[in-house]
Amino acid sequence: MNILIFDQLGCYASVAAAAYLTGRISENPSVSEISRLPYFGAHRDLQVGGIYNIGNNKNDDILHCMGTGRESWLMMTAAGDLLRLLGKEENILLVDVSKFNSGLVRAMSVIKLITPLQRIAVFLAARSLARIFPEMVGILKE
Amino acid sequence: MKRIIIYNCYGGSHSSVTAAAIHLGMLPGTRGACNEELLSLPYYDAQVSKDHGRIRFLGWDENGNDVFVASKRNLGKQYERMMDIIARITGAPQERVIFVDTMPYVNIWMIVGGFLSRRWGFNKLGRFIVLYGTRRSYYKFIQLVQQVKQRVRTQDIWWSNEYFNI
Repeated sequence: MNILIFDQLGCYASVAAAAYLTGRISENPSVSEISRLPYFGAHRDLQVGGIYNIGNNKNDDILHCMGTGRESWLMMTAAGDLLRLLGKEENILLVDVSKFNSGLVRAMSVIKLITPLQRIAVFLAARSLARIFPEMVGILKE
Repeated sequence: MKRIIIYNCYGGSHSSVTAAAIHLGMLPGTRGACNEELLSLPYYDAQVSKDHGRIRFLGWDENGNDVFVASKRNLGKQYERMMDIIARITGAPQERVIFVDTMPYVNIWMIVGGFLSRRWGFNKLGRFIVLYGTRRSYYKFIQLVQQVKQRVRTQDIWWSNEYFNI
């Protein structure tokens, strides 16, 4: 089975969620654990549609993260309908974690594009996500 | 191979419905359409915000392909790319789903009329303007549909191995 996790750029809350599901980080990760995750803040522009393959979890499900901009809710509907049309709704689980990217994370995703500020932007985004992470874990467990 | 053809535009309400209806023969493919013909279409000028994203079935074409309409709001070209990726992840054949973007043929009248009618609720005025815009771009939609049908035919010939049996 594939698990497809949506957020705005596919490399912030979604990467942290995928890392939790693969067992790379715990329920209460530190800021540095989040900021050092592969693909965390990996975007090079603000283009949506980027997809990152994060790896497999213990059940051998394949985890992907996808950036859907501000239209995650639309993609949840559209992708769900497409999977039903293809008769493959059992093959992919869709998860939307875009609401866990706070305003600060979204701002940092823009500032990250300014090369000298990359590290601080990624650190601040990770810090914001670390605070809200337990709440996100609650959703992921469901 | 039976295909899933999805015509998509911003709201899934005007240009995609018009093109899909031409594809299905619900609208004429050799002359312009009148207002009554356009308004009689299912889903024409009828989408609301909460329906955005839904893929709606409109009918089967002469080859048995399923024809749908969908809205993609601000996702633009990325919509097709993302949906294509999702289809590929499932292992569906690449040619099974064809996404057709009708936005390049949308004119300013359709944009203004569509917003007035669907977003701001000025149905009468918006509908009048969007119908005018649709009629102005109608032949472009016919041309688009012909290209789509040509593409489907070409793929059919290719995949039916006729090329290799000659």
